[in-house]
Amino acid sequence: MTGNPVFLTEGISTGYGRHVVSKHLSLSVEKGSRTSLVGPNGSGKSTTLKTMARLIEPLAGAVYLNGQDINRQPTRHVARQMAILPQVHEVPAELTVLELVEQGRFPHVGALGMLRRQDDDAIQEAIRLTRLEDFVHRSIDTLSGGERQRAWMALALAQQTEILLLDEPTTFLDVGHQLDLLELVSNLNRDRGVTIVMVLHDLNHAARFSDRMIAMSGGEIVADGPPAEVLAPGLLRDYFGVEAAVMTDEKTGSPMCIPYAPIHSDQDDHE
Amino acid sequence: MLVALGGLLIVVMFAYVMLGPVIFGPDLVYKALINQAEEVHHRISVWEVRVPRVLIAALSGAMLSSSGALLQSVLRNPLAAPATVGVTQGAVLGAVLALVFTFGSEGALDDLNFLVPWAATSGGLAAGTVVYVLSYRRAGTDPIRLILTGVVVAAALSSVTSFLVLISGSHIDSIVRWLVGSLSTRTWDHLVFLAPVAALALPLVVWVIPLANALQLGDSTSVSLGLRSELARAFILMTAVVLAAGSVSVVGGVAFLGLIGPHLARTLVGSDLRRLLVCSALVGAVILVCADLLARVFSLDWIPLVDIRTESGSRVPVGAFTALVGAPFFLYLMREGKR
Repeated sequence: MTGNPVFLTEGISTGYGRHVVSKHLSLSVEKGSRTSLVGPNGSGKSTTLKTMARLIEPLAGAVYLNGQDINRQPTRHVARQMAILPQVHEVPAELTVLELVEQGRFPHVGALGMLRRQDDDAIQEAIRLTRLEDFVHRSIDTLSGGERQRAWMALALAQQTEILLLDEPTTFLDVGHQLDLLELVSNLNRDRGVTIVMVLHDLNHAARFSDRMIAMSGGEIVADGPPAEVLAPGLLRDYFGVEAAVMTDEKTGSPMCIPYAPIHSDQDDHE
Repeated sequence: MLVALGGLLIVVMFAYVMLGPVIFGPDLVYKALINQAEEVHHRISVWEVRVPRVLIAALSGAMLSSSGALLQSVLRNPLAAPATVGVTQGAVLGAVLALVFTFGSEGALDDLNFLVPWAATSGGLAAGTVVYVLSYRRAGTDPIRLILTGVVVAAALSSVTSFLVLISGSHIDSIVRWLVGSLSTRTWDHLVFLAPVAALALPLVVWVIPLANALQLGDSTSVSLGLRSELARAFILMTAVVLAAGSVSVVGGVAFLGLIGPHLARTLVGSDLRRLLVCSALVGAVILVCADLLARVFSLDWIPLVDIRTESGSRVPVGAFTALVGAPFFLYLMREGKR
């Protein structure tokens, strides 16, 4: 591939302790691109993203962020380049949206700087982009699921990074809030050139909101390329275990699939 | 809110100094405080008894309550408190051990004043360290494992203390006062021990507030923000342990304060630790000063209910009041919070 990769891994192994998820995984992510990791449950897509996010260390090999080993540099230095929207959040009781979003300045001002109230432009902009102006003084545990996810998104935005990683950001949202969030992500990419890497369950969302889809199965990359190439009946049959029709959505121009029957292979029955 | 609480603390502390077996008017207290008392016993009552005791009550209440606030946020558990992670029990055991081993030597009571706080602080720090080390796995600790380990260690330490109580014979009275928490006979000697511990903990507290603010958002988010989460957790826990061990080492295992103080504070100012920690400290100080004021009032001879003084002539321990008032109050808070 050409261009300059922000992420580069060559033959890394990922997993948790003795449990190896992926071996010899190589991938690079171009600056300013939108990449979706897709795959069936247990395919290793979330583990891959967590390894790229330095939430877990690779079992072998290294992840390079802008040419430097992500686990061999100060984590605050990484936090100024890359923000993460994790899959699950811990919500402290009685914390307001503003108090949450303020924390996004931590990598920039450091621990002692955080003793002061943070109210610079980054926070105001994060709140504006996520349309949380009316909620700044609301406690997070009183918000709806969609508002809450926007608040966590605002926290990531307040970090003002050039890279954003999202781990199944739409899982607990209704369809309207799903599109809302994915459009926000796409706008960040289009308007500010933010590099996006996200794990998505919904293949049609992945096809519509990314330039590149990486399909994983059994810890390996089984397809990698533009959505129109990756999203094919063969892939859905072989790795997702569904018979599906793939067509082009006339309104958006992106490929979409309609799965209509699970395949019960003999192999599965014997396992 | 914080200013109001600070004002309230000053008011209850002043009231504390005024009230007692002999009630002093504000003017008399003022004169005694500026060392121009008209009678010697005023000066002694105020300076030698009430002032050091109220200062110890305020300081140790603040320390215990802010320790609870740190623990609740870093362990992300509303039930976390010095007593649920074994620190209180460790400090109490340290104090009881020191008491038991010095009972043999008669006339060593003066030495006790110095030995017991040291032994108790060491016990609390040791308990905290053991809990942390036992919770450590390959990738570090996690809140649930810390709490479970803490509960187990607390139970083990308590059983050792119970055993010591059983074999302590005639000294059972002074040991039980340590278990419950008491401020009687606390004087400048104790404050001289407590104040340096607090002074040592203060810069630690300031340093860990932003770390705890980030860490309470979860390990993933705090890593994303550029925090070394395991290191931060260790620092925050250490700070909480120092605060709690110091407090318990002088007052004993005051029930519920480390749990209720932060809860009450959270309903007042929310979960941002920059405010929550200050508020918890103030709330803890107010509660312990008020509780000890009640304990002193109920210890007076003119209360004709029952003779609640024990054989050795000691008074109702303050811990009995925090437990008695604290438990129902905590239930009330929980029910209110659910709505």
